Amino acid sequence: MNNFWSVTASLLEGFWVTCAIFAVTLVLALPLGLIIAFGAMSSFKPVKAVVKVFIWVIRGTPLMLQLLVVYYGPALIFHWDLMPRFIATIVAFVINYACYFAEIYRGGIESISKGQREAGQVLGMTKTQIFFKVILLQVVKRIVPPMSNEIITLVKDTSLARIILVEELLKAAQEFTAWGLMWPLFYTGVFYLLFVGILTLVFRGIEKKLDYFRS
Amino acid sequence: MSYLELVNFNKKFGQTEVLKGIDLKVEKGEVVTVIGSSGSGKTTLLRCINFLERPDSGRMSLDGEILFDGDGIKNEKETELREKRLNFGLVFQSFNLFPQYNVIKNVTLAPTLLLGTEVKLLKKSLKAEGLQGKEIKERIKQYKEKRKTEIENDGIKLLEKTGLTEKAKAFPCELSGGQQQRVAIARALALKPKVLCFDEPTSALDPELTGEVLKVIKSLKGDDRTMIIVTHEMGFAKGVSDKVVFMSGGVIEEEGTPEEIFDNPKSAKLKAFLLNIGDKEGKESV
Ligand SMILES: Nc1ncnc2c1ncn2[C@@H]1O[C@H](COP(=O)(O)OP(=O)(O)OP(=O)(O)O)[C@@H](O)[C@H]1O
Ligand SMILES: [Mg+2]
Repeated sequence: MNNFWSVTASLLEGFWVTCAIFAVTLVLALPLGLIIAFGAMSSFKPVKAVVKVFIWVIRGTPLMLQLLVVYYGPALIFHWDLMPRFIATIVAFVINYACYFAEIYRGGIESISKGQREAGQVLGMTKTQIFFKVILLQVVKRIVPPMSNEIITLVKDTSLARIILVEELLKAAQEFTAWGLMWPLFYTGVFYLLFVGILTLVFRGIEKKLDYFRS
Repeated sequence: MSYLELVNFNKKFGQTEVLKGIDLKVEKGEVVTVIGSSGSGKTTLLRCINFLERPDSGRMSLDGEILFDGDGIKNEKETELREKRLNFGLVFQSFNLFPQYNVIKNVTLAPTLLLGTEVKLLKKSLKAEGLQGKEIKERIKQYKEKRKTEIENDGIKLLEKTGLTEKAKAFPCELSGGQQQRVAIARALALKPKVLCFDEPTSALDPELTGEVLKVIKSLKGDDRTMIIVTHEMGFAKGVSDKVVFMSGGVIEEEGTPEEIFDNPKSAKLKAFLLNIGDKEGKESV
């Protein structure tokens, strides 16, 4: 029993780091993704091209590779000091997830019929008003399902930070294998499942909330 | 000079010439219907009038004011463009209601958003009068409250007019196509446009629902309301129009009173068009 509580305590410590990676990534990547999405939809061709190539590179290479590059790259290439592991993790995750979110935003925005924008225009609305008062909520409704998928994937992807030795949940559990204990690894599953379970409920709630209209 | 005048409108999409020298005069309070076969440029004409497309050349004036003239039409500021656009209203074939808002909010949204601009102007003029910050705030608050009630009451009246009073709190997805289109008409009227345009307002509707929409449009005639209506409903065009315009291949082939157009067509193209469509729609009238 003693054993169980000490494992739980150290897994909780790891879980706290996992939650921090998750939350900070989400808070930063959600708005950054929108900016990237606008870049990808820009009518200024060079911006559009650069952003599209960037998205292609980020989505086309493993997040684990990006983590390693962000953490070791500056030190190996420019001989800078290594940055704190947590910061490197956040940088890599935010860039990676912002690109995925950007594609979801873009798909959502482009799926809104031209007629909605034109209806706003003939009613004398400004571009900003059209975006915030007409388009946005319809986009939100459409992107909730793909976003919830992506965000649930983020929960599990946090474990990749282990590769640069961030003390997150999985690493905390793995340390017990040195003592010959396997079950702490399985125990992490409980944490992930609970986390994902709660998120699933939250997203279902949001979908329900937006159920009052159809577009 | 006529109330609304279009002179020599030309519009190309790439290599396709869609409008080729359109001249159109509309008097105040007049109802003009535009007929013509598919692809003749009717929608493009309405979109140009509503500033959704820019003609490549041409001049448009409304109520003596030139809204654009030839080349000077490209580099407008967004605010100018919006101001000019507000002279016109457009009802789309596909309604384009805002799905996330209920009926009354669909109608009052645009006037409410415009209130922001009104308030800015008021603030400026109050400042120019030399009023104090606190007093300005008070006056603006009063003005806002007054206007909000007005907008709400206007909206309710428009719903009465379009027969939608009981549907005020319903969402677009809960309405029939005919009801949706009537909301769209009320929404366009809420901004009190000088010229209201309709682009085939009943083409997306089941036949049994077109009547209710046409009836509403017909009821708008009078009150000095100027309307341009693109339609395929010949019976309706005959009944409602002061003037009928027949378009073909990007030009106005013939125009005149309903009697002239429907009973005494002159050009071969119009005759052929009426013959073609006559079998299907000649009997219907509203
Ligand atoms: N945005 C556009 N880009 C390219 N071509 C266009 C565009 N809009 C319209 N056209 C072309 O212009 C021509 C006229 O189109 P328009 O929609 O004005 O016709 P219409 O008279 O309204 O026809 P309908 O009765 O089918 O609605 C068509 O040949 C159409 O293909
Ligand atoms: Mg058309």
